[in-house]
Amino acid sequence: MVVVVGAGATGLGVAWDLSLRGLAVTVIEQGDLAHGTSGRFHGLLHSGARYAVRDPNAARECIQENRILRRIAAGSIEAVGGYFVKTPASPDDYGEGWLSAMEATGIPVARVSREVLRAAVPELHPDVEGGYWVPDGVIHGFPLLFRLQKAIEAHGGSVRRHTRLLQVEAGSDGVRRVRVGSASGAEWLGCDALVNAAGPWAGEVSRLFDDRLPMRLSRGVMIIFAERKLAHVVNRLAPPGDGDILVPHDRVTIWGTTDEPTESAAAKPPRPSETRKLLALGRDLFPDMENWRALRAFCGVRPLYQPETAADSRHVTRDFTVIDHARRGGPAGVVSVVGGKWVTFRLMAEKAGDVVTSYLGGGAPSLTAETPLPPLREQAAERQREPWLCECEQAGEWDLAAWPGATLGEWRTRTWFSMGPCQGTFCVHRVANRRLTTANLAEVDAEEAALRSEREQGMQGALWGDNAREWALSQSVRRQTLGERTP
Amino acid sequence: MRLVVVGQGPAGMLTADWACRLGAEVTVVAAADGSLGLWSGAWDFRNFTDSGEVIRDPWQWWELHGREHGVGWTREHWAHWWTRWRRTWEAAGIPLAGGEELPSHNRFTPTAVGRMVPVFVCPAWQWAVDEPEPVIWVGMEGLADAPIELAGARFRALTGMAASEVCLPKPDAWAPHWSSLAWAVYVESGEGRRWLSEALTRALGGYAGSSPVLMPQVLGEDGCETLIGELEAALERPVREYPLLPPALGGIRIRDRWKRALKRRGVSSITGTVDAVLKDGVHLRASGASLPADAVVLATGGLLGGGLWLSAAGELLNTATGQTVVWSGRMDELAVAGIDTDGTGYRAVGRVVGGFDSDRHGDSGAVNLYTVASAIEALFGKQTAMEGWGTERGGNDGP
Repeated sequence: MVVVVGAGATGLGVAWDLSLRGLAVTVIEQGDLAHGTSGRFHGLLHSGARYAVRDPNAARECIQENRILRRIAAGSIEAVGGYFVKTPASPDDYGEGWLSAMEATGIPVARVSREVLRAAVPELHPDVEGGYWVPDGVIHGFPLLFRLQKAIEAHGGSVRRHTRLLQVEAGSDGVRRVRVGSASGAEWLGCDALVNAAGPWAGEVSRLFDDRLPMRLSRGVMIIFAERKLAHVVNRLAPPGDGDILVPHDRVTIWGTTDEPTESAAAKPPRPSETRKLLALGRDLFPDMENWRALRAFCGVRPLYQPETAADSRHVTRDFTVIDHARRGGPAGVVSVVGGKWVTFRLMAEKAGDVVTSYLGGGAPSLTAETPLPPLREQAAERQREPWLCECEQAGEWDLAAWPGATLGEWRTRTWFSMGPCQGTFCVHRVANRRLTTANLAEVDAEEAALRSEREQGMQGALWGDNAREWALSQSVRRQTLGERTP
Repeated sequence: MRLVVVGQGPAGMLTADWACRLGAEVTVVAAADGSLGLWSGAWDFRNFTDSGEVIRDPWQWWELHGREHGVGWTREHWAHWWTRWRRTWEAAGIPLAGGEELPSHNRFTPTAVGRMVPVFVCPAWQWAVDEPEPVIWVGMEGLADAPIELAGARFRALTGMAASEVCLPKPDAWAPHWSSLAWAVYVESGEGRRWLSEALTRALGGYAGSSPVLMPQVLGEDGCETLIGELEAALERPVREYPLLPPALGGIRIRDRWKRALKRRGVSSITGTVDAVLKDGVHLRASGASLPADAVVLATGGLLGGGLWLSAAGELLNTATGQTVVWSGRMDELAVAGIDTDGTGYRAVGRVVGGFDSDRHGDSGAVNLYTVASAIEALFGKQTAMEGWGTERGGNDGP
């Protein structure tokens, strides 16, 4: 049995990779799927262009995986393409070096004129000077993770959520068993190999087997706008910096990001000063951005790894590292996989899987690059005649029924209810009524309070214009109409 | 006096109504329908203390704590204006629950999710009681906004009283897009009345006793008193509504009846956005025209009403004047930020007046009443405002 810690893209990717090689796996996860960084990114399917100059290795991996994911995860990828846009503020000498780096890394690129660019992305500033097309895309992270879970379980693996790693027991012959804890108590699990894919918590997990990893955590803030403001990804043609990526993500648009060292693995909600600063950085690309309908702001924590000290986390590689702890004096059979990007999760999993397979003495190759993931549910099923429970995201009984026994929070990420412009104001009580068939009133109330608080924190991070008005409506409905006594 | 009232939420309509009765020539300018249609139409006096405890006697609370909140009115002064307000609504054809001239204390009214919240005055179609009693909580299949299982469970847990949940099967005419408004139109139609009466009679056949039947607030757009009367006769039980989320039929009925009453009395109404308050009137954005006035009252609401606008840079703007409003910049103080009466240009009424936190305290009715009556006293002089109702047009229904 291989135990994988963390049910983000990396951990589920490793479990999927090992399952396909015929190994038995159990994933343990402290929260729900995508509890950490995998649920908190801008959704960009990198072409690698962003890293071509500074991080060519990461760039090559990005374009390779970009192509693979389009094949194996069709349905969870939007192949929208992206532009690198030159503004009057772009450094003059950057473009040339970037183009030769693109050639060296093999990332397709095509020059586009100012006119074509402005026709493709009318929201751009009139002063933009042209740019380049690259094969950027969009990843729908949550559905992709649920597909991974489904694939793992179909191969006999298990994903145990709300379960923490408490203790690791290893001897001279390597790791033997792990103790895990959940609401139902603690237990020992036999463990032939252990994979630490805990993202920002990888450092904490590594303390349990006495080979502490020097993580460099960095927080990135993003703003979600409530409308799909453009049809393609837009990047700033400049060295990676704050406020330089805009991603059309299904029905919304995500603007990012920032880079600030942090000690906290848990992503703390953005401060208003952070989001205002980030918003202002968009002006030279999108002059009207301040008037776009903001939805919420959120923050993700990058689990960067760099043993040698570097001054600025922007300069820490976006490449990933697979660490075989036996080689550094740690226990045998323990592997950590750290750093990397969402888009390279499959490759990270493959490399970690290679180490685990070789340790366990098997020779099965990785099959993930050739194996399409199963769809989440049969498309043929017809919706019944019933009212929407969530009008913004068009979720109804039919959607809830696919996840029987789910909590309100689980239904949120699986059906997308409460994610739209009203942020749950008009639908949480309806879904709570359905939840009452599988939970008692106190549990429903606690889940509702947690969901409301989570939605409110995100709204408060982007509290201006119509979103501020929506927030005021939400406050009034909760207190006056529903009689909630909110803190 | 030519008076321009900007905004047609409860404070704007009350100002227009009273100023008209006192002889002013009133024009209401509003960019939208006003906020009345968002809420059920219950008017709160004061429901919760600063620390969140329920208040049963709001009269006493204002007497003891009003000055801390900048309100120095005596009990008699409150009673005068509450009476005036009550008669104003009754004159507009809005029936109020309870027979007494003025309630002596808060009662309780249910929310759609089964909480019992304090209320001072509410429309007669809404259930409001001194003490909770066993009820029959009715919902309809296909009306997601009436979560009766949740409501029943919570009602039992909070009050210790029995509650039965009854779900009516949806009528043949039902379609998935039906909102509460569509339900109300159907229920008021000939077919809908038959359906409702039969479905309720069948569903309640097995229930002994005379517990009140609580219906979701979809009993007709305007003819709800007739409908309730018919149902009560058929069921031999009290029938009342519990309010749903916005858009709320309770507030919509009040808004429509009140608007008609104002129109009958000669209040003019203009759809438009005011973007400047001038010395002698207001400037309208779309037409570029100015509307002359001797006095201007801003009833534009706060952030929700649109009277305040929070910019991306964190600046709070008074949308009717374009002026920046000073506030601390702290999110937790946003709810109490507002614009005050300008010494020369305008008077502000309703929630737009800063300092009150009505969502938290449950005092929105009192805030409307206090700010509107204060503006009326300032505009007409206290004596005329209190006693000069004989000069009003369209019939004397003042106290």
